[in-house]
Amino acid sequence: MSLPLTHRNEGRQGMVAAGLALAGVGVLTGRPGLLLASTVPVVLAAHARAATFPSPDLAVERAVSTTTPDREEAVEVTVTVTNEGASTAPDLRFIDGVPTALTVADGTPRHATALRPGESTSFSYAVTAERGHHTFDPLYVVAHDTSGGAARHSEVAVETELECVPPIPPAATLPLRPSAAGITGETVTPEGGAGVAFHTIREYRRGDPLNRIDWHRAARTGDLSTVEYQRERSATVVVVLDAREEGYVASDEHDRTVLERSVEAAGAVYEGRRLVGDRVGVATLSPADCWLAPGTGSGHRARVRSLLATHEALHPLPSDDPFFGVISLSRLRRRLPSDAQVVFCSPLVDDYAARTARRLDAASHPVTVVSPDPTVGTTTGQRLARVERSLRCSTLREAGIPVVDWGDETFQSTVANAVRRWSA
Amino acid sequence: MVGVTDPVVDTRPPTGHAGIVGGVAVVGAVALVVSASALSLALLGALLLTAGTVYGSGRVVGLGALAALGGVAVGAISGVGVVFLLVATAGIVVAWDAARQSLDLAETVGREADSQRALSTHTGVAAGVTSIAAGLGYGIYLVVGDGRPVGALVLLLFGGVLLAAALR
Amino acid sequence: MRWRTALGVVAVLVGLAAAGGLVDVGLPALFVPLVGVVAVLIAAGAVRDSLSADDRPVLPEPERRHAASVPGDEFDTLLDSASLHGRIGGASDRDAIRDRLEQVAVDVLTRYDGDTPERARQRLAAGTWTDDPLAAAFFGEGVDPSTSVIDRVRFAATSDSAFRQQAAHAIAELDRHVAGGR
Repeated sequence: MSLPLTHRNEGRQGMVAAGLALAGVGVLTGRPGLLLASTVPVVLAAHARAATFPSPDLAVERAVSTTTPDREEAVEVTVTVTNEGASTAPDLRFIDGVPTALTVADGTPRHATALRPGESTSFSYAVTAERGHHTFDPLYVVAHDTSGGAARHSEVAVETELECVPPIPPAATLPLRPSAAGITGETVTPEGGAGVAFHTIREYRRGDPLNRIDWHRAARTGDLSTVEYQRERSATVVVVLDAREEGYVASDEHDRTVLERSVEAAGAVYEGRRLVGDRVGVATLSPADCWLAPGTGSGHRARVRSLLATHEALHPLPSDDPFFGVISLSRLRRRLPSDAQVVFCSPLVDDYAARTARRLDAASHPVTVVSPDPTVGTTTGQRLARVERSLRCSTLREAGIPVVDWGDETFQSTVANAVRRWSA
Repeated sequence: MVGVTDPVVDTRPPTGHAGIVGGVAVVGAVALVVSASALSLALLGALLLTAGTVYGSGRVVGLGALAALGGVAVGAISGVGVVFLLVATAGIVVAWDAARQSLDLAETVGREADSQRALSTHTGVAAGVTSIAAGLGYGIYLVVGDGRPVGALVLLLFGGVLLAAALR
Repeated sequence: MRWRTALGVVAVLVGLAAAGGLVDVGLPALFVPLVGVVAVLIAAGAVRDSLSADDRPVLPEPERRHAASVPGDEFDTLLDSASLHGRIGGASDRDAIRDRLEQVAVDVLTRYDGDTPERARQRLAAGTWTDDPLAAAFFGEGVDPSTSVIDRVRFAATSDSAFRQQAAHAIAELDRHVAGGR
């Protein structure tokens, strides 16, 4: 179906039948009045039949209460349509192009009215903002003539965009795997610490910062001495999100998809590793390509935040494009720095996900899996999916790949509990 | 992406629409007041037209039109005057058209959207067209009158029926 | 359609001329009711035609939400169709489901009960891996599911089947095994 298109509404056809029936009865019973009355419905039908397709000249504006809403904030959308043509548009119907990933929270994105030349109408409704970059579709317009017999369906494009960039979530201190190169990372560093470990104590030298003077020793001996710290060598971590179609499953078909939780986990892991001084990058396994090389600093952090919120590969709804597993994985492996560890965020609902974790791990990129659990176990099939996912988790663990199975708790406490279990 | 599932929008017409339909239909029905049976049939039709608009049922609207126009036929047979027959038919047909339009509007924009003005404009135009048609018809009726040859009548009727049928 | 319009126009014009006394058409009065009958017949045909749906353009539905896929729903559909009585290919579908579930069951028993794969297969065949007789009967050929009379009637009368019931029990039992070992 391509727009604009024209359509004849056959709704008044019944009136011809009614007219003929009245005329028939009138003739058969010899009532000329009935014969006369029968012309009325026939004339109305003829009016519709003779209708020409209207082509209204409309100017459309769309205003939103904010273009950068918070997540779940209600955004008021107001559409104003002006008849710029020289004739009255007797029957205009509008359906606004709400972005696919947004839901209408209040009111309706539809409206119908008549507009005299130069006259305007406006209608508004509210949508609930979701993470991501959202573009409104054109306004769909159905214009009818006065009889309703001829309709033209068309679209009026109006550029409107919303961008919802949630903050990076609080840090989750996910420990890294011990790596062959002996790089630290297995140490669980307290949040906010700069990743430094005690090294030696030496004599005080002029210019040493006050907070590095060992005051206990000074009180005891009267000599000033300075604590030397060993800078921990920072690790390189790439957070990989499973944003294939299988990464977009949900516990219920009307729930948010599990990708939202993968994104949250990725943000929290990023923040945790950033705070201990690691270089962290982000990548996805998805139809669209997405790669942010490991880095540090506030500029990099802003890039991570914006990527997690608005990158095409992490759109709130799955893409229709095909995903090529082998190509994507080899591209990812080419890009990973040789010393990079991988934190893989995936619901693990299919074997490809588990296989990918093992392949990366085997390719000397130690992998930690963070898996938001989308299984619910209401129906038989869902119970089977839960069993199969549990098997995948335990197979990975058996292969030495830690799996953080994220259920109903917050991600931060899930990670904390998992760490406690591992170190026990 | 999505298959055919339940409609997401309530496609029953807004409550205001039934007022327009019911009002016009009752005006038409009342013109048949001299015949009790015609009046009651037409009022039943008006009720069905209104109910069909409230519940968004095209079938009930169709039944309502049938009953109300049946009332017109009964009225004609029981001797209601030509002018009143014309007024009744015009009112009922306009109400029927308004009910149809109301359902069509609601199908497109739903119950929640404001579509009152679109309906009243449409109904106004239909009422205008109907009035002109009925007035012209009545004028011709007065001029032509009785006492014309039967052959002419047959040909006129036959031609009219064919033309009306061609409208389908 | 076109010839009817033309004929109609001609009839009306001649009729008007006759009404004005310009020509004389000698048609008997008998034709008047005939025209009435024709009108009523056409009306009836029109009503019949209007009952068929017209092809209105499909309108956008911005309110419709994307329906996410739920892990396992696909299997439910598969199980439903494989369980239908007398469906062509039903038997091979059921075999495929049984094979898939057996593989899962072997994995579960080896991982959570510490069986070797051979031992797991033996326990599945003998039905000793569970206390649930329906779950046991799903993998075990010789295991008597002891279907109740009520169930037999239900299976015969509805699309529900013993296969589906046993599959559901087997999966629930595996789920319990896994939950115990989680």
